[in-house]
Amino acid sequence: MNFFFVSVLNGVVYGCFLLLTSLGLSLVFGLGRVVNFAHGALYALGGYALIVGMHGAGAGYWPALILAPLLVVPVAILIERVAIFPIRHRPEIYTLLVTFGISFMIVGAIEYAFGTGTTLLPPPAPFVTTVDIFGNQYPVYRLLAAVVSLFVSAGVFAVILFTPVGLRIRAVTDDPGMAEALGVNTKWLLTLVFGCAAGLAAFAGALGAPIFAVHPEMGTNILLDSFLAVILGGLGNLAGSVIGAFVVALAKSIGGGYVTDWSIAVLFLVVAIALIFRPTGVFGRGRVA
Amino acid sequence: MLGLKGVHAHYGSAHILHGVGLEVQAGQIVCLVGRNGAGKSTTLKAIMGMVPPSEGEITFQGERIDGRAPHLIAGLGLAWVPEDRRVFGSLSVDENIKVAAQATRRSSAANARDALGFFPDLVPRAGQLAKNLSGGQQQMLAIARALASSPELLMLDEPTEGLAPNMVKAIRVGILESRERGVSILVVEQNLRLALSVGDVFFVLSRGTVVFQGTRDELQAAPEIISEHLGIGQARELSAWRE
Repeated sequence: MNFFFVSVLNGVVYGCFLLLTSLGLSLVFGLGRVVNFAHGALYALGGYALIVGMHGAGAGYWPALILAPLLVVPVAILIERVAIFPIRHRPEIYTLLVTFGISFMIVGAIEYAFGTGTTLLPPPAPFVTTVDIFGNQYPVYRLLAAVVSLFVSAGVFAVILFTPVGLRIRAVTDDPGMAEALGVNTKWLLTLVFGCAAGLAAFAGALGAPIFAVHPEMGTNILLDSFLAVILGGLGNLAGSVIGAFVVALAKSIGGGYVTDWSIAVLFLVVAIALIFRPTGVFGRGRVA
Repeated sequence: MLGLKGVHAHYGSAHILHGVGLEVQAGQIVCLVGRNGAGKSTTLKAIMGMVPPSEGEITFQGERIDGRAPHLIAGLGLAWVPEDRRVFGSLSVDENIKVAAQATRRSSAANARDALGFFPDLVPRAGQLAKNLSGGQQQMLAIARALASSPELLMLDEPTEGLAPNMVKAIRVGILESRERGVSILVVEQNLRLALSVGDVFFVLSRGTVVFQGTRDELQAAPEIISEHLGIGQARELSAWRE
């Protein structure tokens, strides 16, 4: 029972964390039909930006955590304007292939600059300890990361639902051509959202550094899980991504807890079954094509 | 206000517009009529920048606008209501209006409220998702949304197509009220009876070329143009309108 409880708790914590990367991925797809395979590499870049902030600039953990997305956003905006902007009207496969290539370039650049090793970062001082939850000692920092992720994700939803820029994002996601004809500059909006999504991924990479460690390939798993969450929720459907993130995280955590070698298989099985019955995602507004 | 000179447009290798020329003066309601496939909708899309002209010149308020991005053209005061309405189904009625009102900096919150007020049927549905409205209500919303941007010129593509008579009447009232408030209108309309009841100037388009231009009286005096380029049914409409 204890083991099951901890697996569920780990799943919930990972689900909160996965929200940060899934929301960005979903927003970018919904807005510009861009399948961003560089999202995982931008997440990794966030982890390394944290290291640069802490070890290079001598900042503390918290300032470096804020600095990390600020360093990655301009890189992402540059990527969008140079590599994605010219092909954004082409079928999704073009952006998929281009961003796939860019992810290799980013990971290669990270390996060139920092090496291929893993960097372990301890949680910031007051959060190194554990807390007793129903007889289980659970790391405080994991709970903190989950809460911070939830707050940031709620902030993303607040922007989307209650601000003028959020209204434009929803309109462009619904019908980009019509939104453009009404006066919305859809090209710059996608650049902005791509940059912000990368900022969220980078923030996640930095926030998760004390939990998952920092290494050049750290974005691979998170990219896969985020894509599964977004597909499960319905591509471009933000609310669906939230549910998708928790289903993926729980399937991975609980499945991995009982059948370690088969955890990925369990995850894919859950997603495959869901998609057999709901091909456009469980929350359905997503497009299959 | 709006002028097209020798505008050509293509969809891929298909040549749709063959040197279209037309003009809209401030305060006018101009009707663009023609059979299906004549190039009426493409003309509006070319003006709006959705289908960039391959040749020719489009000016609005004295400025060349051909080749500009649609959002820049909208910012100059041109609003387009497409044939298939294209309301944002996942947004509420109110949010549809707000998108247009906020997008161009031409408008204010008061304009947005006024735009909704053009169609009283929409007011109690302000919080309803646009995809749940009837076809007629969606058409009203599409027009109200276009008006929310405080346009100088409103372009309507088949605004009454497939609508019940009471909805057609409401759309007609909305068009006339818009003109009363100083908005010029370019309307593509298959319903010749409606077009004749609102239009000042008429352009007849056939196979991508303007074959007639003139006032309502001039059009009425040219039934051969109507039967040749618009069809026998429309000629009967004209007779009914005269009676």
